Amino acid sequence: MNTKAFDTNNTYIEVQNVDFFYGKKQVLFNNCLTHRKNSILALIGPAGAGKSTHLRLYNRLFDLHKDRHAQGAVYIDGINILDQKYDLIKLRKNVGMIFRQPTPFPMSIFENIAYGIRLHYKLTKSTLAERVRVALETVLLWNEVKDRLNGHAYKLTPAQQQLLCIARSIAIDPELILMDEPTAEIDAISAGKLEDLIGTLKKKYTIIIVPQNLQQAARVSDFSIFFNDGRIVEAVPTNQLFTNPTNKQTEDYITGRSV
Amino acid sequence: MKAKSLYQRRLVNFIMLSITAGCALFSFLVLVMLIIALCKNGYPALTKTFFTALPAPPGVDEGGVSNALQGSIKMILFSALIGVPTGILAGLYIGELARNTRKADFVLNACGILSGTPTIVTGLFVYTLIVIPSGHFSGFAGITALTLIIIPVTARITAEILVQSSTAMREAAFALGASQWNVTFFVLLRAVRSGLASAILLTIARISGETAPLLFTALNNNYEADSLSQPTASITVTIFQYALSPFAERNDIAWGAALLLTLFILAVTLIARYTGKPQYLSRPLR
Ligand SMILES: Nc1ncnc2c1ncn2[C@@H]1O[C@H](COP(=O)(O)OP(=O)(O)O)[C@@H](O)[C@H]1O
Ligand SMILES: [Mg+2]
Repeated sequence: MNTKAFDTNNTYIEVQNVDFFYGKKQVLFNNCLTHRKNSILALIGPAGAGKSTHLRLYNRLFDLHKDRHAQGAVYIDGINILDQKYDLIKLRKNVGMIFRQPTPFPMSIFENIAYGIRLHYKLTKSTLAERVRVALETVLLWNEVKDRLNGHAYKLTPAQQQLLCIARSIAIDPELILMDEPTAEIDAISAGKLEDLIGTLKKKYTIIIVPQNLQQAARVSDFSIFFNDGRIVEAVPTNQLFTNPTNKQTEDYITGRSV
Repeated sequence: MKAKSLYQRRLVNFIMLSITAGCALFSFLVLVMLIIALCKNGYPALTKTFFTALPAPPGVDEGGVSNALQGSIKMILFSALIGVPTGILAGLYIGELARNTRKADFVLNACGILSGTPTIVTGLFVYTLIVIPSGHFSGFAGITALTLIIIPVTARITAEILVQSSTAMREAAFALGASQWNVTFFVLLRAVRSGLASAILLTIARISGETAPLLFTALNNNYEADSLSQPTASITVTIFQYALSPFAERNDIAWGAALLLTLFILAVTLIARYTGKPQYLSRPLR
C-alpha cells in the first residue's frame, strides 16, 4: 500500500495529537510521539498519569467499551490504526499485549499457546506443535514445561505464567509487543530474568513497556516518555533522562522516586 | 485499666462464642432429628415394590410409586434440558455480550424478580396459561412450570459469575485477536464452568423438591402417564397427598418417598460442592 503518511524507514510508530476519553472524562491530552523499530520505549510517570490508557491505544483494546474513545491518529508502519475501518483482528494479531497480572487461560499449557495460533493460522498438528515449541523456547520456558505440556496452566508459578503469556503472544508472530508492568506480580529473581528476556526480544520485536519502576526503565529501555496528568512532558533517550532531564517535572519525579 | 479491658474483652468474647455455638448446635440437632425421623419412618417403606409397583387402591398393601418416580425424573430432566441452556444463554447476554448496557440491566432485574417469585405463583400462572385452555393437567404443564423456575435463576447466576471473572483474562483473549463469540465460549465459559456446573446442580436440587407448581400443573396420576400430555405423577405431589391420607400404608409410602427425595437432594448437593471446588487453588481466578 502506498498510503504511508511518512518515511517508515526510521519511524515505526507515530502518534499524532491523541486525546482519550472515558465517557466524558478526558484523560489523555494531545499525546504525540514517534518510536523506532526494534527498540524499547518506556512509558513512565506517577500512578494515574495515563500510561496504561495510552498503552491500550496501540491495540485499540479500549474498543471493548462503547463509552471510551480516542481522537487523533496512531500510525503503525504508516497506517492509522485508529481509523474505524481498520481491521481489529489484523491489528491485534500484529500487536501483542502482556498484562500486569499473568493471564493464562483455563486450559493446558499447550492449549494456551495453540489457542492464539488457531485464531489466525490453519496448521497441521505437527506444524502447530512445532510452533508451540519454538514459542516456549524463545521465552526460555520449554525445558521446564516440555514434560507437562498437557498440564493445567494454573499450576505454573506466576513467573512461569507470565512467560507463558509472552510465548502465547509471540506465537502469533506480532511486530509490536505492549507490556503493562509485566513484572509487578512476580518475584524479584524471576523479574530480573524477565527483564533480560525483554532485552533479547527487541532483536525481533518492537516493544512499548510500562516499567514497574524507574530502575527497570533504566535497565531495559532505549527511549523514555514521561507522562504527567495525561500529557507527555518529555521524550528522551533513557540514558539522558537520568543524567540531565530537561524538564523540571521530570526531574522532580526522578529525584523524588529514585533516591 | 489494661487488665480490666482485657477481662471485658474476654467476657464479651466468651458470651458471643457461646451464643453462636449454641445456635450452630441447635441447627445441627434439628438436621440430625430430621434425618433420624426420615430414616426411622421411611427406610422400612423402601422395598422392591416401592420402586416397581403402581399405586395400590387405598387400604391395600403392596402399592408403590414407580409412576411418580418416572414422572419426577421425566419432568426434572426435560425442564433442566430446556431451562439450563436457555438460562445460560440469557446469562451470557446479560453478563458478557450486552455487558453494562441498559438492556442487560433490565433483563437482569427481571430475572431477579422472577427468581424471587414464590413458585406457587409460577404454578398458578402456568395453570391459567396451559391447564385451563387445554382443559386438563399435564406433564407438559409441569415441565413448563419447572422450566420457568430454572431459567431466571440460571441466567442470574451465569451473569454474576461472568461479571466476577477476571477482566484481565478477558482483555488478554481479545488482545490476541479473538472474536467475541470465541472469547465467550472458549475462554470465559470455560473459566467459570465448574462454578457454573455447581450452581446449576443446586438449582436442579432445588426444583426437585418443588410441590406447589406441580399441584397446579401436572397434578397426579394413579397410572403411568403414556405421554406428557396426560396428568403426571411426581414424588413431591405423592408425598403431599399420601401424607395426608387416612390410610397407614399410604403414610408409610409418603415417608419412604420423603427419605428418597432427601437422599437425592443431599447427593446432588454434595456433588455440587465437589464440582464447584476450584481445581487449582494455587491461583484463584479474579
Ligand atoms: N475505567 C476507567 N473509567 C474512568 N476513568 C479511568 C478508568 N481507568 C482509568 N481511569 C482514569 O484515567 C487516568 C489514567 O489512568 P491509567 O491509564 O490507569 O494510569 P496509569 O497506568 O498511569 O496509572 C486516571 O485518572 C484514572 O483515574
Ligand atoms: Mg497502569
